[in-house]
Amino acid sequence: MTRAYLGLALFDVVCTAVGFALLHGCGFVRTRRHPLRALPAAFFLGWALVGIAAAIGVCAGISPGVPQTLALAAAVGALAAAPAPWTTPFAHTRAPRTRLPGGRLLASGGAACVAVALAAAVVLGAASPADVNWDVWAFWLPKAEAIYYFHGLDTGLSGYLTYPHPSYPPLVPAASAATFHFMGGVHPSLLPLQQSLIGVGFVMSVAVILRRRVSADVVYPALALLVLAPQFWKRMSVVLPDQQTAYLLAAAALLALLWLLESCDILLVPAGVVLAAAALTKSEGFLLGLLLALIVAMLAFAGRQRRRNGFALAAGPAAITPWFLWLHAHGRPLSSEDYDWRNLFDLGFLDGRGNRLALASSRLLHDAFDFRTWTLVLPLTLCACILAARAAPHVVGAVTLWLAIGFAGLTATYWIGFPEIHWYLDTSGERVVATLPLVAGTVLPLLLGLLVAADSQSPDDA
Amino acid sequence: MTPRVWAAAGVAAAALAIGAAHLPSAVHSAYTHATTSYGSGLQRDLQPTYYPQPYLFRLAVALRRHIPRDATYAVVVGDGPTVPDIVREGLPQLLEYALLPRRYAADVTGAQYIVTWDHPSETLGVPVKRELGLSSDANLVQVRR
Repeated sequence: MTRAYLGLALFDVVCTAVGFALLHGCGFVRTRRHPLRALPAAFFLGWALVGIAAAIGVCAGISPGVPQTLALAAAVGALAAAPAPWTTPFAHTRAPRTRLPGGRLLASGGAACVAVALAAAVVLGAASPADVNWDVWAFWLPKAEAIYYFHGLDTGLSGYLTYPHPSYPPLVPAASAATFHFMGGVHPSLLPLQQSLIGVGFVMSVAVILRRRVSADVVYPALALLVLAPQFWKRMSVVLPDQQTAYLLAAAALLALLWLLESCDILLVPAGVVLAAAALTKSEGFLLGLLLALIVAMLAFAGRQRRRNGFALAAGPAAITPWFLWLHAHGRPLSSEDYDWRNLFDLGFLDGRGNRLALASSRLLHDAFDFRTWTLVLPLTLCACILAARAAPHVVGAVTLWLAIGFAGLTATYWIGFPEIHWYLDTSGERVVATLPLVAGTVLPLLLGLLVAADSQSPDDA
Repeated sequence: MTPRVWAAAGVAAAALAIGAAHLPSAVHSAYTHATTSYGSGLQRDLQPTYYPQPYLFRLAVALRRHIPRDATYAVVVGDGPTVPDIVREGLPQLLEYALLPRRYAADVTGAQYIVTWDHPSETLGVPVKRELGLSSDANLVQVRR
């Protein structure tokens, strides 16, 4: 197993190098002081980039073996670093000094809670055996194994298309297959560790990104609330891709909101990368990512400066195209067989389905707001939205619109879904709706920071 | 201090209090996992076949030993009342997870090996070359080709 651990470490080093290339190319990391601080973001973005490359690679018939993954990573890294001569170093401003009463206690207590929680998550991930969740062993892991053993998207017996939900995008199976190649064999027991490392990378990236403009006495308590919400923490080492999708969407939301506030177009690049990775991870990642891109772009366009560049965010979700082409080429439907969006406009189909709508909406609301799963993440975020509405109307508008339409969209899938409603909700409702509180919890510190900053600064001018 | 700052401080304090209240259970959960023995590397990798039915792990290990890596296999489960739900509903998928790169064939006539659970080989409808008992319920049938 030692070789497997070393292989996983090497894979993560490759991801981190690719992430640094992107951060360098965009001008986020230019001086000697920044690399260590940027390490979590480099790993998280690098994992997303290598995952995108592996997913598009398997669609193009490239096996995610070690040489191929290294070549793809080198190509993606070179492409990501290429703009460096033309990009200006990103302004690394520091957040305003602590202004909250009891700020020092809030900052140190929050940071300690986050640090202990992340360390505990890594311990749990390292100690855990292979994930026993039904969906993991029934199709996510076999898909990864099939890519590993049959060198790509094999269509024969036990090939990629033979497992349930063949239309689900291939980023996670392709990335897992790549890690298996680095490990020298199929070792699903190491994937919970990798999952928890991705979670740590995400949380620390969010802290680093936010600390540019939000003080520590807001950032760390809010992150402690998010990380220690039972549903977040429990899923940090679960190998189901729902949590990864939520991480990617949350990172995209944060970067897109910062772009809305700062008018710095280079922020659109990492935002587009994580949106692309979300689209290639799960169907919800595509739909909720596209929704986010459109909301942010339209709000920016509706602002005083009529900014059009936000529409470039739609290029992220468009990264799903190679997968759709591959499915089409193999005669497979492009979306899940559990529902058909066209039925949303078929009154005859919807007739008599009111009970499903009522059940789905009440159950998903319960799952998102239940104290035992997400504590007060959503209520506190909505409270912060109300408080910050005057200080940052565009940001609050984007957050509330995305949450409301996202919730309506998720509810609609259960409304028009074909599976029996109780079984459908029991098997997927809680983890699918989890994206909403996770994104909300990620932007909560930003909303609070804007609220505090509004005392000395003008409202956002997006 | 303006009311907005006090409001932000209140939200941050509530967030910290709620987060801190959940810290002990997170640490306890990590400690419990860290001090639990999950067996050998193989058992950790095949944990879905071990938990909650350890007998499926023994079956998977035996099948990995007896079915060549480049062979095809099928799974036939009887409909007797004593067949556990996990076997009735999930044995083919569990074995696909555990036995790859051996290829699973849904049709027994296209398989080189057949895993039977509470099902007599005489009614499989294929010529049997060899039959191996793996447990009181499960057999491995090699098809004559």
